[in-house]
Amino acid sequence: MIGFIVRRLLQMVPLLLGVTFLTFAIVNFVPGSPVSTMQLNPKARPEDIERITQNLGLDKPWYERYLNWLGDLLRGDMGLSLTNYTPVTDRILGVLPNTLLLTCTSLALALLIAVPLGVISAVKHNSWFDQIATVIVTALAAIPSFWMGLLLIILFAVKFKDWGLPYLPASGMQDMRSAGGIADRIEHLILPASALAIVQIAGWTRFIRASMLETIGQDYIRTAQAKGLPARAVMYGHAFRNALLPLVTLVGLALPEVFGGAYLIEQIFAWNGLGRLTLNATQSNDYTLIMGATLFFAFLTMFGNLLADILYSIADPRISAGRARR
Amino acid sequence: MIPEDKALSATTDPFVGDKAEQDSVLIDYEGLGRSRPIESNWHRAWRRFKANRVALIALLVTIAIVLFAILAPVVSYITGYTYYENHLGEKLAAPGQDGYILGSDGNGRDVLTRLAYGGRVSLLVAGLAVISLLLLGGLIGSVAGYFGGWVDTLLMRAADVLLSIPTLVLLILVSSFYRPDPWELAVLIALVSWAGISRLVRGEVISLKHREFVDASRVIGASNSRIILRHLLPNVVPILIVWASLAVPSLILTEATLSYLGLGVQAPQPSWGNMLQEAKQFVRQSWSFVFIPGLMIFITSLCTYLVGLGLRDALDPRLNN
Repeated sequence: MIGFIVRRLLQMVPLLLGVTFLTFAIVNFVPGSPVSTMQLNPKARPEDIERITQNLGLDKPWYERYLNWLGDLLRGDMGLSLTNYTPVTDRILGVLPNTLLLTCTSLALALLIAVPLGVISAVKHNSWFDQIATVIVTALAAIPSFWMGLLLIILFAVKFKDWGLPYLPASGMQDMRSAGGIADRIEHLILPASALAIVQIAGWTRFIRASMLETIGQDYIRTAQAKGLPARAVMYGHAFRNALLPLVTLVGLALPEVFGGAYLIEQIFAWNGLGRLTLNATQSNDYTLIMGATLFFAFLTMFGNLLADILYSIADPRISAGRARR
Repeated sequence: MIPEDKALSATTDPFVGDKAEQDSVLIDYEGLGRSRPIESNWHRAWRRFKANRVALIALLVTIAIVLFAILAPVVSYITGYTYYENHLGEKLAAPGQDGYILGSDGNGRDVLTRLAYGGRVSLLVAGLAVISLLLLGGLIGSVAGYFGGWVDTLLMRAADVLLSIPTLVLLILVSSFYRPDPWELAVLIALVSWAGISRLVRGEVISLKHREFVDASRVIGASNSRIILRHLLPNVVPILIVWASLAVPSLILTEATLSYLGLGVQAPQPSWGNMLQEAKQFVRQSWSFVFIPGLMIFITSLCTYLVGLGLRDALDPRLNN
């Protein structure tokens, strides 16, 4: 097991190098640099720009800058944010808990709806329930998440207020005036988490339905039915538990996608998380911060893949046996 | 000797399914009795697609939306408004009010006209992106699969790197430094997302390259590029069609997302995404202005997805008879 983890970690090294190089290349070879906006500023004197260029190391050749940047990165130093000159690492870690709260809540919400929906669809394959669920899931997959977010705001924040119903806050993480308790926090969490959950439901339901259908077709299910177990016990005792195994893997693989979805939702609901931080950075040309956030996403993706592999080999002994031989 | 084009036409049949089917096609071409017309595969696919009522309706809606976008100048003529003309006295008119069929936006511009022009951008970007992706991914995948060795390793490791950063994050990274026009945006999307399709093509090419018809064409002196372009790629066509039709809806969403974030097509040129971005600040005043562009994105992506599903079912060789 430990050998397997170590091997997987070693495989990640070239990939990480590739990711750092790609990120660096995009930022450096795409037209436009952090000083190009300063050059437009009439107050900036040429010698100032010269000095800033030197401070940022932009006068050195690209390979030297890449190696310097990589060296700093290895020491956990992603440089200073160009907007307020605090370490990028601090800024990312500072908002990370907020993003985690949002993504984990939405993931839990989505699974809470998708698991029963997918399982019942598979058990009652081709029934009217299955067909309606398929239609809903297909429609949900086509909805842009930002539109969903805006519609939720219009209905639950704007219209409910107009109609005199209890309404939900449309943005922010807590009430500005009353420094908010837990109830206030939850109130602010409901809309963004639901918006993020709704766009995930389609994928999860489809996956669980397919996995459950595949399991139901297995021989041991037929055996269980043949020996006279009640249908309920076969489906929920035998099939359900095995069908959920691959879900473990998928949660790991879906991590980056869920975080990516949070990009937009955070922007819409003014949720102070990683996505909002990055998008604000793109508007202010804060390139160290953008590079940091991109790398963070790459780490997250690889970590998700690794986690998926490890969890799956723990959960399913057939898989780890196959891995050991490889 | 069999004339070259005749011998090869059997192998360029894009519907090489199971072994038995392939053999029967070969026998047919050698003149031992033709059991069905040459074009039967495409006909059969179309017949199957037609039988799928949902896919057919989705196709009609898609065509209607494409026509609506192509005929944007006509829409503009009918409504009497241009997409850029401001009417500051008539901001945020409700649908039907003051002669604005679908209302007006925050600058008093006609929403219906902007919707038609915005559709041009959205569909153009999605269409161009899917074509560039097919060319780029098809080329990279077939080269990697056909040559193998270090070429394969290099290209597939590059694909791994691209796959380990979410496409949207990469696109945001690129477009935050560089504001592209629709053509550049399409190429940009292709440049960061070719990994998936190239893997698909690579796998298919690897399974094809040891077949006898490839050996045969090499024996009669065909060059590598001829084998890839004339013999391998045509066999991958059905898979490419299915992949492309299922990629279009997600590309429409990608374009809309980037434009919504202000990183795609720039104002005053409308796209459904940046119309939504402008609408966002008016959620409290006008719900229709938010609702309509999003609805267009939703319907277009839903219908193209349903057409894609229909095509997959119609073309999937495993479902043959």
